[in-house]
Amino acid sequence: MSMLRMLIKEIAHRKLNFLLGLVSVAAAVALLVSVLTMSDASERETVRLMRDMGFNILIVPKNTDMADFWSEDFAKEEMPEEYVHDLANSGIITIRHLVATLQKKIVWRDRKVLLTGVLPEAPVRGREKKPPMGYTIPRGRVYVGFELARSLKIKEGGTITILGKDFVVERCLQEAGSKDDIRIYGDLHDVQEVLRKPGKINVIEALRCLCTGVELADVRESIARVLPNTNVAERGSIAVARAETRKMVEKYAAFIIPTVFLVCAVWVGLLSLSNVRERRQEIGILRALGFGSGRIATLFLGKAFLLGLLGAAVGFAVGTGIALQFGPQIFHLTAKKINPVYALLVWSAVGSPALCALASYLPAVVAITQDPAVTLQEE
Amino acid sequence: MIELQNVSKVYAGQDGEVRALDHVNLSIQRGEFVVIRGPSGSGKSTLLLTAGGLVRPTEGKVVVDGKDIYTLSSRERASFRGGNIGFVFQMFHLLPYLNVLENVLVPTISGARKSDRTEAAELLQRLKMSDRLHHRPSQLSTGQRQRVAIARALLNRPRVILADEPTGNLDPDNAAEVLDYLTEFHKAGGTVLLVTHEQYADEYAQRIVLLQNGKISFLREESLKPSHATE
Ligand SMILES: Nc1ncnc2c1ncn2[C@@H]1O[C@H](COP(=O)(O)OP(=O)(O)OP(=O)(O)O)[C@@H](O)[C@H]1O
Ligand SMILES: [Mg+2]
Repeated sequence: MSMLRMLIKEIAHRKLNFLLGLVSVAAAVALLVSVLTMSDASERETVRLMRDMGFNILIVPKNTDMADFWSEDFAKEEMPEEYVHDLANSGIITIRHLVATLQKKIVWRDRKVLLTGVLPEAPVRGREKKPPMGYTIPRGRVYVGFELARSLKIKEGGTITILGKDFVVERCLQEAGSKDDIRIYGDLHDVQEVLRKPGKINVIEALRCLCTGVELADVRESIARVLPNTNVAERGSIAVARAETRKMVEKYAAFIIPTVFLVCAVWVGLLSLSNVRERRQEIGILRALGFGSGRIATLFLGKAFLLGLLGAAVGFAVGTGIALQFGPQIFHLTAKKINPVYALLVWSAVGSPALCALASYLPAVVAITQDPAVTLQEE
Repeated sequence: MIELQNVSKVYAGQDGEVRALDHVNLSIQRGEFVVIRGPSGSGKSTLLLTAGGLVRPTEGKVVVDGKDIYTLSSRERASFRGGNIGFVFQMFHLLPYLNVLENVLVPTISGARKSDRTEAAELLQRLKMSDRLHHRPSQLSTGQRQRVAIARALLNRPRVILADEPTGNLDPDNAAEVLDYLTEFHKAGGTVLLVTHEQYADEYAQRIVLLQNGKISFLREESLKPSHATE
C-alpha cells in the first residue's frame, strides 16, 4: 500500500466530491489557457501585420506644423541626424526599428517627386537583433518609386541625374498605391549632399512596441525624455486597432481571471473541508494506527495536488480547444494561426496544483487539529 | 510497562466541564490481560485513548517503558503508537474505500514498520478471512469486519492491544471468537487492555478494573473468578 494508491482509491470512492472540484479547476484553467492562447496568437499576428504595414511612429521636429505634415507627408523643419543615434543609445524600449530620413519635395523632370534619404536602421542598444526594416541603399545608388519608373521609363541599372549628381538605379520598386510610388530613395548622406543639408533629417520613423501596457502616451513620454525638441505622431493602422482589441480583451481578462481563480480556490477549499468532515473518523483511526500530522496533511494536500494536476490537464485541453474553435471569431480581423501554447500546459501543471494545495491548506489544518477523542467516539 | 500516574482528563462540554478521568493511578505489567468495566460514561474509552497516546491528559503522566509519552513530539508519539500499540474499536473503523487486504496494510503506510502483503495475507488467513481479501468492508458481516480490524491491529506486531468494546456490535459467537484472538495474542506474550461488558471476559483477565465517574473505584487483582474480588 502506498499513499498514492490510498489517495486514488479514496478519490474513486468519493467521486462526486472530486468531480465537483475537477470541473471548477478545469474551467478556471480552460478560461486562462483559452484567453492566453488566443491573445498569444493575436499578438504574434499583429506584430507581423504591423511590420508589413510599415512604420507607425513618426518623430518630427518640435515646431513642425502637423497640418502641413499630414498634407505633405514630411516635415518642413529639420533636426540633427544625431537625434536618431541619441534615441538608439538611450535604451528606449517602447519603440524599435529606428530609421532616420530626410525628405523633400523637389521638381524633377517636370514632376513633383519626394526625394527621400534613408539612413540604414540604427541598431537599438542592448536589443536582440531583429531583421532590419526600411531600406539599406548603397551610396551613389537609388530606388525609384513605381509610378516614376513607369511613366518615365526608368530601368534598373540605368543612370539618372538628380540635382546635378548621377545615381545608378539599383531597383525599381513595386506598386505601393501611396505616395511612395513617387519617391526616389537614396542613402541619407547622398540626399543631404544634393539638398545641401548636411547632417539634417526631418523624420525618424519607428515601430511602436506592442508590448502589453505600453500606451501611446508612454511612447511619447519616453521619446520626449531623450529628444525634448521633437513631436511624436502615430499613423493609425489596422494593426494598432487589433492591438487595441487585444488589449481590451486582456484588460477584461486581467479582472475576470483572478476572480474566477479566487472563486475556484474558495470552492476547492470548501469541498476539501467537506471531505475532511466526512473523514473525521478515518483521521482518528489513522492517528491511532500511527499516522502523524504530516501524513494526515499529506493525505489532503496530496489529494488537492492531484486535483490541481488533473484539472490543469483537462483545462489545458479544453481551453486550447476553445481557443482553436472560437479564437478566429473573437480576434476576427486576421487571426488564423492559433496554435496550442504548450508552455501554458507547463505553467498550469505547476500553478494549478499549487493553488489547489493552498486552497486546501486550512481544511488540512482542520484535519490535523481534530481531536481523536472526539472523532473516534462519534457513531 | 504502561503506567498512568495521577491521570485526570477534563473535557470542556457545552454544559460545563466533564471530568472523565479523576486522578487515576494504574500500572499495567508487560504480558498482562486487564479488563476494564464500568457504566456508560464512566471514562473507559477516555482511559484507553489516554493510555494509547491519543488523548493528552489534563493532569498527570502516562509513562510507557519509563518514558512520559506526552512529552514526546506528536510525530514521535504517532510513530510510537504505530510501532507498539494496536487499537481495536467497537465501530471497527475500517476505511470504506479500501479492500480487506489494503485495510490491513494501512499501518505500513505510516512508516512505523515495514510489513508486506504476504504477512498481511497470512494474518487474514489465521483470522479466516482469506476468501475475502478483495472485498470492501461494506460487503462483510460485522464479525468479519472486526476480524479485519484485529488483523490490522496485529500487523505491526504490537506489544499492546487496546480494545474498546470490540465485541459490542457482535453476536455471542463472533464475540467469543474475538476474545479468543485476544487471548491468543496474550498467550504469545502480548499485553491486553480490554474494555468490555462481556462477563466471560473475566475468565481471561488477570485483573479487572472498575471505573465509576472517572475513578478506579474497584480493583480486583490476580483473580480468575468474580467471587474472589477484593477491594
Ligand atoms: N470529546 C468529548 N467532549 C466532551 N465530553 C466528552 C468527550 N468524550 C467523552 N466525554 C465525556 O466524558 C465522559 C467519559 O466518556 P467516555 O467515552 O470515556 O465513557 P465510556 O466509559 O467509554 O462510556 P461508554 O461505555 O458509553 O462508551 C462522558 O461523560 C462523556 O460525556
Ligand atoms: Mg466508550
